Parts: sequence; structure tokens; C-alpha cells
Amino acid sequence: MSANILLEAPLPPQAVKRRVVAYLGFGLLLVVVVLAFLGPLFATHDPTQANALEALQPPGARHWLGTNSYGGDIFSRVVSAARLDLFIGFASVASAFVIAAPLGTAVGYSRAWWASVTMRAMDFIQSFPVFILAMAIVSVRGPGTFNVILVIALLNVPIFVRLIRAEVLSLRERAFVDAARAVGNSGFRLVTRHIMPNALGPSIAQASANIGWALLLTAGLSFVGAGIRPPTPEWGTMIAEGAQNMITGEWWISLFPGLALGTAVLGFALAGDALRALLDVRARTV
Amino acid sequence: MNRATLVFILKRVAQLVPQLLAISAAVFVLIRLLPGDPARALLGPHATARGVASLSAQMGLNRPIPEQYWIYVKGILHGDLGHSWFTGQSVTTDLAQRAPATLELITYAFLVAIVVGACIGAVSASRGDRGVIARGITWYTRLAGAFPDFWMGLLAIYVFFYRLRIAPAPLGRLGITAIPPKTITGFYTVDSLLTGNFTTFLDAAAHLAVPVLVLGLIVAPMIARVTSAAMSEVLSSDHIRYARAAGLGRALVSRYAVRNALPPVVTIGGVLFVYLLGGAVLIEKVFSWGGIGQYAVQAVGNSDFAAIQGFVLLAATFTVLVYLLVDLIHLAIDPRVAY
Amino acid sequence: MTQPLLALEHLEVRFPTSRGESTVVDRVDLTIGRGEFFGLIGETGAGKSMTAWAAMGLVPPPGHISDGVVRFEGRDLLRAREDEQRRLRGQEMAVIVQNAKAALNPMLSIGKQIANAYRAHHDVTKREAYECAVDALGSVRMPDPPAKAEEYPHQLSGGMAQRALIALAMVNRPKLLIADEPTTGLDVTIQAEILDLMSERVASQGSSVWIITHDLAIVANYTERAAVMFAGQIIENGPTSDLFADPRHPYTRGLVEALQNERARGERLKVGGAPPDLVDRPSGCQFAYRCPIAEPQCHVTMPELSELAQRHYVRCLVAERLAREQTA
Repeated sequence: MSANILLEAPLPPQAVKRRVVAYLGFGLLLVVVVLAFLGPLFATHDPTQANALEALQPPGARHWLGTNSYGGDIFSRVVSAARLDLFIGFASVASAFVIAAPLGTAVGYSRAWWASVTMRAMDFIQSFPVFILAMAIVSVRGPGTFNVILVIALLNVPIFVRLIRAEVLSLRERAFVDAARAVGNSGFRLVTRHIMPNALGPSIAQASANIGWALLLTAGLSFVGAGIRPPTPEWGTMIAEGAQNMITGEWWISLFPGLALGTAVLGFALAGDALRALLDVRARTV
Repeated sequence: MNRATLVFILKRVAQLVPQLLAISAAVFVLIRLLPGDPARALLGPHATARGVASLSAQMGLNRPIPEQYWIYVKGILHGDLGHSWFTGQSVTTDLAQRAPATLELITYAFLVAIVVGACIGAVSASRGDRGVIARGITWYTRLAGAFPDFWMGLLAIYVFFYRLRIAPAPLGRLGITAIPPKTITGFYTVDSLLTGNFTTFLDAAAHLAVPVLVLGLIVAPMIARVTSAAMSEVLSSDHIRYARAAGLGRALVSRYAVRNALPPVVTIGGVLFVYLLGGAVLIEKVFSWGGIGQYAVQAVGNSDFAAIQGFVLLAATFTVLVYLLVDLIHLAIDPRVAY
Repeated sequence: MTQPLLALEHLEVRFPTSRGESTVVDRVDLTIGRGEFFGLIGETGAGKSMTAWAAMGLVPPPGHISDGVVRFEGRDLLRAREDEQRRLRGQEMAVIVQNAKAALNPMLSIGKQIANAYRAHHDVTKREAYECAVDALGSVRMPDPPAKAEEYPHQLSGGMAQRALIALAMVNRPKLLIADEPTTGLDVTIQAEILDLMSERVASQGSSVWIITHDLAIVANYTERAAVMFAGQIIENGPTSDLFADPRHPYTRGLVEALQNERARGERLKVGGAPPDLVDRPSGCQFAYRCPIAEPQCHVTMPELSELAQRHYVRCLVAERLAREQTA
């Protein structure tokens, strides 16, 4: 009966507002993702090409977002960078999730000594200032896409492990687990079939926001030279390329990559909020 | 001070030892993750065969790992963090020279974040979810968290320096021709006032203004969110309701509410202060600040591993000490701790 | 008849829910006299606590008082100015609640809290107020009051915290003490001590006590008059002895029988059946759906509170009919 009521009752104004914001989030994301995939089709110029004659042009007809100090077209580069940045974002968070899901479930379900040792290790990783740890590891391993993904994945694992562990801790005492056990499900099946799928909910909502943070972290690392190296188009390196030019008034070089980055992060954050609200309602009617 | 409190303090301070050991171990491992000879990596591109041999012997690279670690820890306890091949000085000296600049920057940014964040949080808690103000605050939080701080810094430079000409050039803590004040605390703003040098004070403050505001305003929503949640929860709590039922005056009830909402705000303050150190790394590059953040960036660019090692150690130790301070503040303000 | 100390007239409290408005307190009429020990009984969710908080004008949002008047010593409390309301609360009317530890501020010592409550209504120095606080703790028979005054709420046991709360409530010598489930969850012996403490106050100070509880034994042993609430309505109201000797409303009868069978002692009251729907209220008597003697007209006509015996009011059509037949 209660489920019907939820469907029939008119939405209070706050919920409507939330809906609009959710659509905005998903909409922004869609734009960014489409640009990332199809962007190169729209690109007006070769993103890696230099053309000294056309250096430092403000936005105009030929170069929609202007050119940088060696003549590279900003628009094409921004669109091309979207692909790399989104790839890094997804890959790092997905890898972290794949590692954290079984690890978090195991740590939450088991009462053995190694579970608390693992959590201490998670605490330890999280006790370093995030950016500094990332910088240090990349400096030692060297720049490049793979190492950036590695570092960001490492930083995300404790976050997911914590969330999943918390869910598993509360799930393992629930009635349906006892029921499943009574029917004859053994430990491993019990955990993978019944507990893990139900524990992943909050983490999935969190993952969206984490992809946004991964984008910011990638850009930051690249900005200080500890991430993606130029001339590969990446939003962070592009902002770095234009840093000196801010003092001389060529604002477009750093502005547009930053706008693109912020828009993508905002989209992921809003989508994450919407996912969380969606999963919350679902959880409440169960 | 009673016994339980004393025991708590001693236990908490004692925790520092394993924490610091773990950090030193992690940094020790970090350097050895490098491909090739650690000694060669630490000496940089100008390494000579003799230099490598000498440093290898010093570090005990031919000895078993535990012994290497022990040599390393002994070095740290004596203040020896290695030698930067790039600056030619000991890393300890490098860091000591630059640390005050970073500390001044993040302290002021922290103050901005706390003041702005607490005000926004308090307003948000009393106004609830409705109205233009609440919506504005929500969007401020969202946007501040979405755009990178170093990009905001660059935009601020463009607007306030290039366009409006009200901010000084982003070339460090003082104007090019200025002489730094006599070093008492290391904070230019404080030292210049203490030595009566008002022009230098204005110069330092002008240079601090933009980076401090950029960092502070970007991070303020973190404080606002926690303050708002804490205040809302307290204002609807049983004991505040009861205080009203007992007829206590509005001012007193507000003071009660603030006092009760303080603990989580103190916690987020600690998290924030540590986060600002990471943020400082990026901002210092944008403003050529000359602090340990810029030092770290330089080190990464130059593969100056001794400097990187020293910086990470310092940053992690800083984090541990800040969290210790947060716990001690909790002990002071919250009677429920230590029981 | 002398003016009652507290009079609730047609008091109505509503809460918005996703399904519509829930009427938690439904046109309640209640009077409490000076020096009277009054009991309000009902099952969980009957609206007893909300009635008390509404009487103080402190309904928590989003609930609101949608209708009715609250008169304290004849003065309209709800429409009074804010500082007048504040003065009444704590000074003339005080409340104690079930979870004493939650009601006390965890950050302050109980001595300071009681002192603050005293200083809110009297112009004294901090030291004087603190001394009053220590005295107040002594009057509720706390062991070693000066030491206890320095302790914090989390350091006290449940019973001690309740005493501290009573001390806080009584330090200003209010004319009315509202006690909302003050002894639930406490040890039986401590329950008795605290209730004795309260009735002693009634006797010595001439204060009135309004106790709200689901435990009939307490009402039977301590109160002079009592009322029974169901679905936000008063369904019976009369002298306690009458209520127990001659319960007229079928709900009350069920409660009294359960008490006599000693099944209700200290347990959640339930007279067989699901709780009523406070949003989509049925027409007619709210109890009819689970009433053993309901007649067809009960489901159609809403009964009113009528005086069926000396100062004994009942809200039941069947009871009215039986009363008419008796006198006929």
C-alpha cells in the first residue's frame, strides 16, 4: 500500500526542484560525453598541430575559441582533451570500484584480524593530503596516462571500501541473510549473490562525484607537470599553457579548458546527487 | 585537570609515534620505488661515480633493508632530510626558508574560509531550504567545488591585475623592489607590523589578498556545509527544545546552540587546514609564491627526489600534528570526550 | 467554581504528511485546577505529549496549532507577546520529559544549567544562582549535591538525570509541572521515589502536576483526576476513583480490565487493534472500528463529551444511551 501512495501523491515543490537539477546534471554530462566521443568529428583543426603564424589569436571566425602560444586551435584541443580526461576519470574510478567491491565486502563480512589491518591501511592512505600524495607517487613513477589512472584509482579505493564495508556491516545482520543461509547458501555464494549486490548502492552514487574529483585531480597534476605531458591535449596542461598569458591579457587560452572542466565536474556532481536521491527512495520503500 | 583527561592526552600524544614511523616508512618505500639506484636518483643529473659511491655508503644501500631504514630514521631525527641537487642546499634548509610563506598563505586562507563558511552555514541553518538565499548558497557550493582553484586564481589575476589594475603582479609575496622585513615570525604581515614598517605591511597584504581570497572562498563551502548541518541538528535537538521550554532567553539559547554545534566544525576545520596545504601547492605556482608548495612543484619538474621526499615527509607530519591539535581542542570544548 | 489553573479549549494540532494533514490533537478540552494531580492516559501516538507541548505553545515544526485557546490563569497564552510567553514557561509552567539525558545540555554541568534556568527568571548573580541550583539538587534528594552539580549529564545514571531535570524544572517554583512519561524506562523503585517526590511538591507547594503516561498503575496511585485520550481526542475525563470504579467508555474499560489482569503493568498499552488513521479519519466515533460494543449509529455520528455523572465526562453514544436508560 505504501508504494502506491508514493506513486500517486503529488510531488512537493522541493522534489520538483530536485528533478530539474537532476535533469540539468544529466544534460550537462550528456553534452560533455557526446563532445568527447564525437568531438574529433566536430574539431575544426588538428588538435596537435602547431602553426606559429596563427599564434595567440583571440576567439574569432577561423578559430572559434582562439589559439594558444604556438598556434594550436583551442576549440579542437578542448574537445580532444575531453576524450582523454573522461577516459582517465572513468578508468580510474572504475578500477578503484572493481578492486574495492570485493575488498570492501570481504572486510565488512569477515571478523578476522586482517580486516582491521586493512582498514588501518585505508586510514593511512587517507591521512595524506590527497594532492600531495598523488604528486609524490606520479613523480616517482613518471608522468603519463597509465600512472595518473593508477594514482587516482589508489586514492579512490579507500573511499569505496569504507562505503561498501559500512553497507555490508549492516546487511550481514539482516533477516534476509539468515533466510538465505537457512536455505543452504554457503559463505561465498551468500556473499556474492546476496550481500554484495545490495551493498553497492551508495558507492555507485558516490562514484559519479568521484569521477568529477578525478577530473580535477588529473588537471591539477598536469598543471604542475606531474600528470599528462604536453603537447597531448588535456584540460590541465592547457590551463598551464595559458597561465603566463593571463598576465599579458590573452585570457582565452586558459579560460575555455577550465570552463569545460568545471562543466564536466558539475555535471558529474549533479548526476551523483540525483542518483543518490533515487537510490534513497528505492531503499526506503524496501 | 583530572586523571581521565591526563590519560587521554598522554594516550593521544603517544599515538604520534607509530603514526610518524608509518609515514617515514611510506616515504622510505617511495624513494625505493624508483627504477635504478636510489643514490644516483637522489644526486640528480650531475651525479659523479664517486658521489654515488659515497652516498650509497652513507645510506647503507648494500646493507639489509631494515638497517637502511634505521639509518634513514636516524638521519631524520638529526634533522637531515638529504640534499637537494637543484638548490645545492640541504632540504631541511630549503624547507625552513620557504615554510613561513606557505604557512602565512594557508593561515589567512583558513581564516577567510572559516569566517565566510560559518556565516553562510549559520544563515543556511536558520533559513532552511527555501528562498533565494538558500538557492544562492547551494549554487555557490556547487560551483566552488566544480572549478579548479588554480584556474580561478588565473582568472582572478586576469580580472584584478590585468583588467582592473587593483591587484599587484602575481610575482611573489612582495613587489620586486621591496625588502622583506626582519624575520621574527616569518609572516611578512606580522613582522612588518612588529618592526613598524607600514609600507611593507601594505605591500605584503596586497600580494596576499588575491591568493588568500581565491583559496579561502573556494574552500569556504566545506565549512558552510558542516556548520549548517550541525546547527540545524542542534536547533531541532531535544535539549534546545527543552531550553526554550524552560524559558531561557533567545541569546542564551543561541549560545547553547553554537557551543553544541562546535565539535563537528572543529573537525572539518582540521580537515580543511590539511586540504589547504594541497591547494597551496597549486596556488603557489600560479602566484610564484616561493613557499614549500612551489618548491615541491619545482622538485617534481626537476626530478629532485631528495626534495620531494623531504616535502612529503613534512606534509604528512603537518597533517598528523593538525589532527592531534583537533583532538586536543575537542578535549577542551566537549566534556563527553575522554570518558 | 474557582478559575482553573490551565484550560485548553478546542485545542487542535495538525502535522503535514505526504498524504495530507494529520490531526494529532483533535479539539481537546481540558482543565487542570490549582494543586491538582492530573493524569492523561493513552496509547503511543494518541496525542498526549503533543497536547502538552501545544499547551506550552511549543509544537515542533512542521506541526502547528490550527485552532483553539490555551488559558493559563485566565490569560490567553498562545496570543500573548513573546516575552510574556517566555516568562510563563519555566516560571509558571515547567515540563519534565522521558529522556532526561537528552533534555539536558551535554556541554554544561547540571549545576550551571539549573543556575541558568534560575537566572532566566530572577535577577541574581551567577554565584547566587549556582547556590540555588545546589539547593535544588538537594531538594530532589541527590546525594552530595555540590559534587553532583559539577558533573555533566552523560556522567549521571538515568534516575539521577531525571532528578536533575526535576530540580531544573522546580527551581523556579512553577505553579504547574507537566511530566511527560517521566518514569518510563526507569527502575521500579526509582519510579516510585520520583513520583513520591512529585506528589510531595503538590502537597507542600500547592503546585499542580499534570502527568502524561501510558501506565495506569501510576494514574491509579497518584492522581486525583484523569483523562483518557484516543486518536487525538479526549474520550473520558473524570475523578480517578470514578474512572477505575466505573469506566464508561469501552476503551477505558478495556484498559482498566487489562490493569486488573496485571497484563498492562509497565507494558505498552494496547486494547486489541491497529492504531487509528489520523489523516483519513473515519466518520463517526474514532474508536468504533475496534469497539466491542459499537452500534450502527457509532460509525455515522461523532459523539461529544457529555457529563454522565458528577464531573465525569464520556465521549460515547452507547454510554450515553445506557446512562439515559439508567435514570429513566
